Amino acid sequence: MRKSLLILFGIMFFSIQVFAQKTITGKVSDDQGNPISNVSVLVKGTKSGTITNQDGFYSIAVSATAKTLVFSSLNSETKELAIGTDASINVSLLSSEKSMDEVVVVGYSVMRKKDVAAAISKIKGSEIAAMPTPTFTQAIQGRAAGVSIAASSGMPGGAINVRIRGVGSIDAGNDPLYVVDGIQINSNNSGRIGGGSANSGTAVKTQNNPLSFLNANDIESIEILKDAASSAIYGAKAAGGVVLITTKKGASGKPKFTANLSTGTLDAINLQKPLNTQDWLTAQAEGIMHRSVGVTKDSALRAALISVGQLPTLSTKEIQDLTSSDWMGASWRTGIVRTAEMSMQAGTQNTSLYMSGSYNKQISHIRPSDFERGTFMMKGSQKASEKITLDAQINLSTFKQNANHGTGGAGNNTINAAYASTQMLTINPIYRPDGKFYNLSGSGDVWYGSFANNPLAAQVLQKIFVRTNQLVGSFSGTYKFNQDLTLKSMVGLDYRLSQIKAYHDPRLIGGFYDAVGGRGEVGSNWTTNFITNTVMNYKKTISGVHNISGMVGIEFRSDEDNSINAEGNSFPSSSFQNLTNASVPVLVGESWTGFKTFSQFGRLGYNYDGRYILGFILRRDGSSRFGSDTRFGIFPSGQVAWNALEENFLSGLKNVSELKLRYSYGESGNDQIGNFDSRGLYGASRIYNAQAATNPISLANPELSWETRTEHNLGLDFGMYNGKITLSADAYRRVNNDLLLDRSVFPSSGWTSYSQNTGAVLNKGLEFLLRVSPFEKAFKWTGSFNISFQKNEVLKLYDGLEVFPGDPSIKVGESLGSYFLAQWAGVNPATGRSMWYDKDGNYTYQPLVADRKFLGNIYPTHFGGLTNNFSYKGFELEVFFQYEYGRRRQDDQLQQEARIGGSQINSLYYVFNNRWTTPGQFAIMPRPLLNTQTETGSVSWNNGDRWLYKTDYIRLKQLSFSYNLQPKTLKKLGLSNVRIYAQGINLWTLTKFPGVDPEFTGSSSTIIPQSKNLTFGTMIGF
Amino acid sequence: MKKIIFNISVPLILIGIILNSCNKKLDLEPQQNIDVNKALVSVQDINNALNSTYAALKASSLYGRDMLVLADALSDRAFSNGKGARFVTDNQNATNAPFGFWTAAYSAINEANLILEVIPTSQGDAATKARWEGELLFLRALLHFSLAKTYAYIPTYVVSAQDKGGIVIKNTGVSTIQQAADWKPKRASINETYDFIMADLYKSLSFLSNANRGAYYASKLSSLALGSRVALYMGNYNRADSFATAAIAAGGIGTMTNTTNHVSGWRLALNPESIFEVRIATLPEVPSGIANQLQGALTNIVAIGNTSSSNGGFGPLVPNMALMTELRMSFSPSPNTSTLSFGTTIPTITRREDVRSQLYDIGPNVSGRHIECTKFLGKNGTPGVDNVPVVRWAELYLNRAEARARMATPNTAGANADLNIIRSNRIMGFTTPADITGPALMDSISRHRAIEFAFEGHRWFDMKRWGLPIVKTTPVVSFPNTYFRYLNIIPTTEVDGNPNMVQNFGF
Repeated sequence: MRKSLLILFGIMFFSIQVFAQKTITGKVSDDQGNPISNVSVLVKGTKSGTITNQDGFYSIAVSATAKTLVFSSLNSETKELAIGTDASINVSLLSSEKSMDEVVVVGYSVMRKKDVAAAISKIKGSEIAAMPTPTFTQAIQGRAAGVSIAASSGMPGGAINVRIRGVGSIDAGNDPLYVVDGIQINSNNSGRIGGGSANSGTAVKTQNNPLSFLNANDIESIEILKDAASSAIYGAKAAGGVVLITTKKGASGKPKFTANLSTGTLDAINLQKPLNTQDWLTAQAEGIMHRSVGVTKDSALRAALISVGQLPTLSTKEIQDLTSSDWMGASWRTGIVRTAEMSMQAGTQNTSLYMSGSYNKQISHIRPSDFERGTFMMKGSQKASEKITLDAQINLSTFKQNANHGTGGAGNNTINAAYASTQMLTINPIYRPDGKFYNLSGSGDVWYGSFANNPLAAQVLQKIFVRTNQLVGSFSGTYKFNQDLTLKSMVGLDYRLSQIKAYHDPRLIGGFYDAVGGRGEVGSNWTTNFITNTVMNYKKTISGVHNISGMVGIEFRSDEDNSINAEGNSFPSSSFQNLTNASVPVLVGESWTGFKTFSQFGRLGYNYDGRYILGFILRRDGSSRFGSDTRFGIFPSGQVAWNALEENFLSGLKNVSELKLRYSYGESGNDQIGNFDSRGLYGASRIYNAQAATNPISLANPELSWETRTEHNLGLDFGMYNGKITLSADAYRRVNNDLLLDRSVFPSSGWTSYSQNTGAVLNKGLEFLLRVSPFEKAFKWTGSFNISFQKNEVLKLYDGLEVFPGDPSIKVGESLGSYFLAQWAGVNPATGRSMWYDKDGNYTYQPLVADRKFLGNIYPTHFGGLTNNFSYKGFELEVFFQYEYGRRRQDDQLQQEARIGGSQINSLYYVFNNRWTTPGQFAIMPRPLLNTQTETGSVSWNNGDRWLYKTDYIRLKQLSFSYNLQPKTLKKLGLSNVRIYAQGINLWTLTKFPGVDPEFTGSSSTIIPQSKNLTFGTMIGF
Repeated sequence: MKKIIFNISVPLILIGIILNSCNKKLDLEPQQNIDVNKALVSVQDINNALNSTYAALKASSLYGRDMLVLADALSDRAFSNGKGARFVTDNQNATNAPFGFWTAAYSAINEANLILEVIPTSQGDAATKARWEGELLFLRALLHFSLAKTYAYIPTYVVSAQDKGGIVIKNTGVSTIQQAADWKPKRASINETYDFIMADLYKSLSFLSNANRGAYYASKLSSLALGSRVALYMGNYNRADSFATAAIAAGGIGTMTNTTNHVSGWRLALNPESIFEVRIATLPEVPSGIANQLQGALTNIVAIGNTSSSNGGFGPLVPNMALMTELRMSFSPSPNTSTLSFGTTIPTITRREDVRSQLYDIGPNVSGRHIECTKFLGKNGTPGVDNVPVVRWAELYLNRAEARARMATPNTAGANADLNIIRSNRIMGFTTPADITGPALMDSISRHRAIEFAFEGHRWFDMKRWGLPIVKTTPVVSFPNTYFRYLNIIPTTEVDGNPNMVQNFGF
């Protein structure tokens, strides 16, 4: 200690090296021999240092006593070399991606991976760069252990459900916090008309994913803070985990240009097969026969013929000759994916610049859904002086989407072809002889079926259009007090404007269409999310072994959501589609909501010689969302790690290249509730007899606060053969306490619930990530496999209740997302009727409340991915599988399609071929039955777990094959890199799920299913 | 050392400065809602809050649809044809919870109670305060009555072995989380429930003057008229008689229609017979989804005589043969006996002397044509937007006729006189026949109630209070009058975790 104090003393007062005796020069290059600029070259134990120039050269004066030079830079490993007698020291540094010194972004600062003791997943931008998905979150599906990512549908630019280490909240949100280059992004869906947060039940027209603003190719890395210890640095917003996105930046040296062009197609993975007219008639006749006593098969067939306007006297031959329209074939199409992008990285010693532009288009496999985006990004950094550096960046993007009407329950689903095309009666023509759509309003066309409209006409005529313009940018200044201490202030803005327009065409039939002369709706939503923070980072090595780091900061964020909307009826004709042409105004609306947070935070790190690692985090957060009495909360965390290999007694371990044990404990908070949920409010949304009406809408809870996630994480990092095999394993136990619960009260009080902090949910799990790279010569093979196991359990509700009032599926000891229903017992072979089990396991047609039991849940028990990358002489093959197991889901779409013989809708061959027809037959589908399939004296046909299916699957998510031009050829062409590639997405799936596709969240009905893509592209670097 | 102190103190000082200045910055007020403490202060505030209690009746689960349509789906005069798969299991009396307005009704009752509690200290003058109280007590009585007749037995017919009590009586407001958490209600007995409803009506009569705000608001007349129905349900026939008599004498809102203007009265926004009618004037006031609207649930017809456009709605609930026979309607060709569908044909409809048969017409072809009820046709100018009559003049006479027929000492002459008022105003060329007595009298009253109030939500509760078994031919449904689904299940949210609460029998 005394010695170190002396050294400190020396540093402070003798910073000018008066004893300099000799000069050392040299060149720093990477493993390819390319020079690296801006590498810090330091005499170990002193402040004396310099940096390399653009060509990688340095020159440093050292004293006679100096023994070691330390070479370090943010993008490469750190190397220490002894100063010998030579006046020249040349060094080759591995880039940090390849070395053990890989850097990890941890929130407000970066750390070497070696020093990280918490559970953080890192995904490099290069892994996902070529994925043809509009939103990067979808591209990282299956690539990070413990992170479950599922697209809610195959809609381009649609919602993506990201759950990090399970769900811990019952009523509050479970979404992670997204931070792009230090800016916390507002990730509410803005595909809605009308105000409020996306959660408050406004008129959602389509899914509009705000994270679509970022072009995946601009991403340098994605870090996912998975445990509470690492996410605690984001305090009350971090309980769902934190996704940190770092975009690319300029690099000094020769400017590098990269262009990427790709184009491809997009098709349905699996199209359901609806019945033809003849089989529909057969099923319908059975339905009629089963409904009424004493009807013969023949007279039922006659009745079925009459019901679709055919003569009852048709002969068998004439019935065979009835035509069947191919509604499915006409509804689905081959879509298009196109990408064009270009970027530039440049820089000098004091300046760096990154620029990029991209254009992206996806035409979905079902009309009119599409997505078109342009992005532009610019990021510059300028060193104003030795002490001051200024950084500015801006990301502008605009994207537009045409959306299907009635997707995801928004609007009239019977005009949504994704929902209705399997259910259209095939006796109806699609087009009139003149080529126009059949059955438009006023056409006089005779039309059959429960759905009033031609869904193909609706695909073309109905319009939902969203344009989103987004700006994410920041300006920051860094002041470097000295080598050890820096202060950085950042001001950032995330501004988004979404303009939505919906037009209900009067050529369609129904209450919103021709009956009111067409209806127009417009809405604008804008989000102004302002953030500023000031962070001070400190880093110091004492006596060569005591590495101290510290960080303190403050942050203020204000987020406001505005919207205006209007609606009108009665357009002169369908040629007029602008709201100003509507002659009857229906409504206007405005809404506003917002929140503010203020935070202070700090991090303290210590490591002894890279061997023993200690870290502490403390954050204090205040949020306007919470009750006036409980506005501020404190979130601490601690982490320890032991790099065992640094111990002398283990240095003899052969072949082991990494052995690290980690443990962390921390707390983070969840504030994902409505902005004013703690307030007692009166609303004014009702009217009576054209007069205003006000009513109480919420009960005040001045003690409402965040829910707290506490988590223990135990981890092991193990590597062998110089990193050729690495294994990361994590075990966690996470408890969310003081849940933000809509605690229900007995409704005769006049209220159903109020928000209260009560209850607890446990998540525990195991995560493994195995990477192998056995061959690294001419033939390269790298493989990566990850698997996550997770289990969820409700620990506690309130008032000692075992079961959540009003939702018996939420029960202490059971998992969230459970199904608590009567169990379907199959089809009675004697009668063809659906049966259920009662609580004693006997068959019943009338299962009661008491007969319900737990029948699986919507969360997978394990999931993950498997990637293999092979390359040889410029050829590269990547094979990526993604899998999920243990989840059950209600198939709402199949349920609708299975109303065989029940209504005037069409059904599927899957149902038809499996239906009950004769006594004694064991069938998996009950007998067709007119009038909704519900048998007399029975509960509803779709009762209980009738339509629950396992959604287990393994999917070949990505298969890409590429060829990189050889250096010789490149040199001739004057290019630095040319890559030609072909890529397939979702080419193969193994599943027993009977519906269209097992990969969905929410309801399967009305959604656009996942598609398979084939893309071809070229990437050129110069 | 100095430097380390410097390095640490700079941020600490910086943070210290900002630490205390930011707490205030976190105060944020909502814009489209206001704090509860500012909500019930001025006269205007209370008027607004009172409007909200009326507006609550518009809910689809209440008078916006279910109190009429669902009640008829359960009854033996309507048929669910499966269009849009609506009301099918209800029509088969196989649903545990056809009605789902428990929460909505108690929420409205709570609003009424909160206003009633501030009225004594409010800024209004005495007359205004009295009117507020009178209207709110009527609304509270109507809501309790709606709950009582649905969720409990009706006093005139109770299966004692299955009687779990009346409903929760709520006469205090809940406005804090403490009150809400402490609220562990229990069911009052059936008699206590009806006594409470009657007491509210008596009180409302004492507050309300003869001045009124028309059929869209509660009035002395509406309290009297509702009182006659409640008394009838209680089996207190003398009181039912006197309430109806007082109402008929008082008048002031609406009037009895006759054979010439009864049908046209149904085409007007405000039914001329209405004593209390829930006002639903504009499209944004009705729930989205045509099947959730009154018109959409009953008909596809967009306008009388239009058999091609199906823009009116869905039309899943239609009259069954029993009702059409009572209306003396016949068709050529006849409908399919099991689906009541005419296929794509437009039948020739023969109507006879009862003008009420003109309120049923052949619908457009949507999976076949059906005879549909046209009482609600978007009378406020837009499909799906209709006012909803709750009490109207014909009921006063039918209530009184029944009360007089069932009194300890029946007033047969009076009952016949009332019945004749109904018949002469509904049957063309009606000539007064000789008085009928006994079962024949009750049969006639019962039949006229079924016809008069078809698709207005009376029949099911009449069956329930008279203890009639459920017998339907399309679909084939047969249940004794002890069938447990005569009562609606009480929401499990009310029962689960509340030791004081008992669920209805059989659930």
